[in-house]
Amino acid sequence: MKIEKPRHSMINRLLHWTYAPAVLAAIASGFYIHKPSPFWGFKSMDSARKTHFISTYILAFSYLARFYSALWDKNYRELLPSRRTLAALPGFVKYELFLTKKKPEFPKYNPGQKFLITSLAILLPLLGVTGLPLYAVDAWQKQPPAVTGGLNPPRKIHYLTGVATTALIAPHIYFSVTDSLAKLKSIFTGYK
Amino acid sequence: MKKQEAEENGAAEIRPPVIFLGTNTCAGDMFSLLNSLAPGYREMLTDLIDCRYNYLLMAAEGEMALNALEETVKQFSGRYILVVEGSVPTRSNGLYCVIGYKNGRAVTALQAVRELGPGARYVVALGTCAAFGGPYAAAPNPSGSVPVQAVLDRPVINVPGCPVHPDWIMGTLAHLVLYGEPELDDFNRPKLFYRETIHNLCQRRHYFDSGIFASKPGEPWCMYKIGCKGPVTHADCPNRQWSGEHLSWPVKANTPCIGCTSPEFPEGDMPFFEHLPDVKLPGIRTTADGVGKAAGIITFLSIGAHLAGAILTGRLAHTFKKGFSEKGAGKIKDSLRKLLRKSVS
Amino acid sequence: MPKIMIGPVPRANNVVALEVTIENKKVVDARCTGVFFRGFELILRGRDPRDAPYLTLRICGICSSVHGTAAALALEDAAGVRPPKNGNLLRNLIHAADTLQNHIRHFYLFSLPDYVKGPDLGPFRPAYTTGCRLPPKDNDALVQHYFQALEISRLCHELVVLLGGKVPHTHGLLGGGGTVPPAADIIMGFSARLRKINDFIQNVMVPDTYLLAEAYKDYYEIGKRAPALLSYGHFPRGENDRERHFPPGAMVDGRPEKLDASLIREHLRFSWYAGESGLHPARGRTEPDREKEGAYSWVKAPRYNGRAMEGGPLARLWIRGDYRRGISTMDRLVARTLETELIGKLMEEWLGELEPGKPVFTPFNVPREAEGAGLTEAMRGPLGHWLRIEKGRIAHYQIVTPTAWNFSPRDDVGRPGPVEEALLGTPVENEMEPVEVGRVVRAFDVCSTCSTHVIVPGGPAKEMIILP
Ligand code: HEM
Ligand code: SF4
Repeated sequence: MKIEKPRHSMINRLLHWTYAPAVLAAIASGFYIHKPSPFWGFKSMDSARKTHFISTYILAFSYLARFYSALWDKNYRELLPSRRTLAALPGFVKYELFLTKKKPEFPKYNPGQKFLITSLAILLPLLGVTGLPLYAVDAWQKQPPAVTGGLNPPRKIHYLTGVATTALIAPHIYFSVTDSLAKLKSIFTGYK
Repeated sequence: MKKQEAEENGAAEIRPPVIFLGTNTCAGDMFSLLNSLAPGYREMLTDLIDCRYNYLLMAAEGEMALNALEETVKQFSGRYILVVEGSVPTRSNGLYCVIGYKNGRAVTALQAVRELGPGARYVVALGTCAAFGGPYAAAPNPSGSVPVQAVLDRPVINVPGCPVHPDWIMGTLAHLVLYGEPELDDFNRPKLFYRETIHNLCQRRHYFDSGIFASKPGEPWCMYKIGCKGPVTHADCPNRQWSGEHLSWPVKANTPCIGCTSPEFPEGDMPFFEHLPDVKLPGIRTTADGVGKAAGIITFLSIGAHLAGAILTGRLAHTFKKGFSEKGAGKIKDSLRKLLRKSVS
Repeated sequence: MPKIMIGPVPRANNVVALEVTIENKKVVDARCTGVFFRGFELILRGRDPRDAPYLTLRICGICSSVHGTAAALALEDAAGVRPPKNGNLLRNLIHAADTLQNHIRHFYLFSLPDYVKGPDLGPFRPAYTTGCRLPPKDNDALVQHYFQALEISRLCHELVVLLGGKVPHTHGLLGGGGTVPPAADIIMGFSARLRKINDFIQNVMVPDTYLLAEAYKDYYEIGKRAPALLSYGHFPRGENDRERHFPPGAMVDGRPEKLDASLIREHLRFSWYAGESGLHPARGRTEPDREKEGAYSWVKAPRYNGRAMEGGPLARLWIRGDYRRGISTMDRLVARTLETELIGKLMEEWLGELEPGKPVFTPFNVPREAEGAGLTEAMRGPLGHWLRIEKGRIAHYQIVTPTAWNFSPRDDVGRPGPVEEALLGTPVENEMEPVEVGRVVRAFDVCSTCSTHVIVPGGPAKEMIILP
């Protein structure tokens, strides 16, 4: 068997499977906190809040680790959009809108994935910045400093950011399952 | 000056001179102050402070009143306490609030605050309007009202509340007289009264934790689902309760807390009966839930449409065929075996 | 002809200002000026209609619960709901308790310093040195009662706290009813306090008023004007609001008439507002314009069928048929005290009608498009809220306050407002200390915080409102 470089390194796979359930738990518990209802799978505010806090701690640390790993193995070059990504965008959009049959080839990630990953990389810290003043209501009164005054603005932004995060993760899951099974496999095994 | 010291020096009469200046206000804070039980308004006048000017209750009127103001500033420069109730309108050079007429000319609130502020020992912003702008500064802020701090170049002690609880202002004045400036939080509110969130002190917190919520005003459970701002509001209402005699508070009256001590009240926390404030983009106003629902629907429809396309064009079938082709499936089996072996060894 | 400007005029629930012209020791011309502006109606636009009661409470610190009541009535009118029986009673009790508070504070804290020498203590000093006629014994008794009134008015406010959670700006008044279910402990706490208050009213306030009326008899001849009186009526008798304990009505040219709210117009010629004058409040559209030529007040000039109408306890008792001695400064003071006594007694009845265990609040959905009006009586006269809802949000909100009626400037044809009219002929002994002017004005219980508002500028909202 040919020795090939894995599509996803072991550490990145491990991190993915750490933060993936954490994000899902944060979403479900977050929406319960927003509008308590058994729909989200929680029985009480207490359990939802504990879940939210534990999952977001896990999320925060795995995010930092993944950030570091992206820098360390230069993985960020594959993750972030470049000028070439923009050039490839029309072809990609055409394909996803079923205007062309030919599946365009991309180095590792397609423009959609790059856009999604970049957005998440920005949204997750924003969730942290707006979540912390709600978490430690006394210590973080004036955070985030850009927002003038009070806890209502971070609460609103936290919710809207949570909505945006969820609206990105849903298509991520959908495309992972429907685009290519080989790539789906690789996030478990590392190889296509 | 410590009261004790003053008394030892035989000067029991040294109650600090206080000016209660009213600007754009409903006077609700003064009426709340009148509701103080112990000390009552009378004891405040005889034992705590030397009231030199009270925009609402003073006997003098017209120029006699304004002269009393001027005299206090001259005679007690650096020693008087200035208590401002109300926001300060800045539109048309402050003409949206006139506190009186001197030689036939209007004296605006803006002018008065700017003139009285610098010479004061302490400046206290009484009520949410004075402290943060409050209701009259809510969008579109027709009078251009701003908080006291915005027109003064010196520290201001904020004692918010709409209205203020009598104990909060009486306690702040007492602290100033007896011990000097109290410890303040990030918004210059005395920590003595604004340290904790309503939510952390609330009697109905166990209903919150257990997920038992009122669905309309008048029910005896947690008010979270009908917009309670207790989790994001700092004040001690649940412990202290209103007013002179401490009898009740909004949640005990089966209504949500509306966050009246917060800097963003009311603009940043309305609608009062919704969990989150409105989302305002240029030209558009909607609820936070509106944004959430719209995002949910768009996401759902887009994925649905793509899925339909993928099925109709046969793309999905292709993906799965390819994925589960001999080779592909074999590979999965292979790698699963590999993984198993690894974890065993 | 000396003109004197009196401003600030404290003890008027926030300051107002007056310009009076004096000739031969008599007032020959008077102009009333509302000195500040906030623009509540402008702020209300685009907001959730359910917020109107809590937001409009904040117009006024002394009569807040009345604004809450008017806003609740307007919202119920628009949504087509009524509060349950208990809800109506609770709201009446809150409104009434706040009225007792207002009347007691008005008589002792606001009016008395014009007639009585206060203690040698700020803010009773400085004060005018002339004009106090009472013998020292009576004077001292009234000063003691001033301080007693502080305690009693606090008790009145505690009644509001019991049923509304806090005060001022209480929470227990909503479109849909009240929020505190009546139970034995609350009813008991309420009635025990009410008994103390009624005791004070009957045994202290009423005698004090007559003592003052006796010493200042000439004030039955000062501040007079012809009976042009208006009341919207308040305290609905049943939850359907078909009748009110104080009935609506008008006195025009000395004749009683049925109230017709469509005859109300707002004039702007002498007010600092741009835009079309003479519109009904439900239609009015104007903008603040402080630099307007010739104008002198933030208060607009509402007129009823073209007439400047006076509102307040005297107007209400007159229309109810309980007091018809005359219309003057002293009549205004006496009527206020008599109304206090009457309302205190009514409250005892209402307390007995509460039904523990029955609902207090009727839930309802805010309509997408609707119009509503909430007319009631504030302590100092008729109060109206007009509301229009579009796309589930407030598209238009208009408030006409009692002080706009009483303290109005001249209208489009130059007819003076009630206070301006009542001031004419008032003798002024000493121009340096025009204490008589203050007495006439304060008897109206003017409240400038009440009056500082504006009609919403016209046209459709620029914002697009999207509601789920
Ligand atoms: C995928 C990530 C996350 C999602 C989707 C998410 C979502 C949400 C949502 C929807 C709410 C309800 C907001 C409301 O309506 O009041 C919420 C509340 C909250 N979130 Fe997050 N959140 C995430 C991450 C975080 C992080 C990183 C923190 C950091 C500490 C955090 C802390 C909080 C806190 C403290 C609350 C309020 C809980 C309470 O009031 O009891 N969240 N979250
Ligand atoms: S009623 Fe309000 S403050 Fe009390 S627990 Fe519920 S959300 Fe918190």
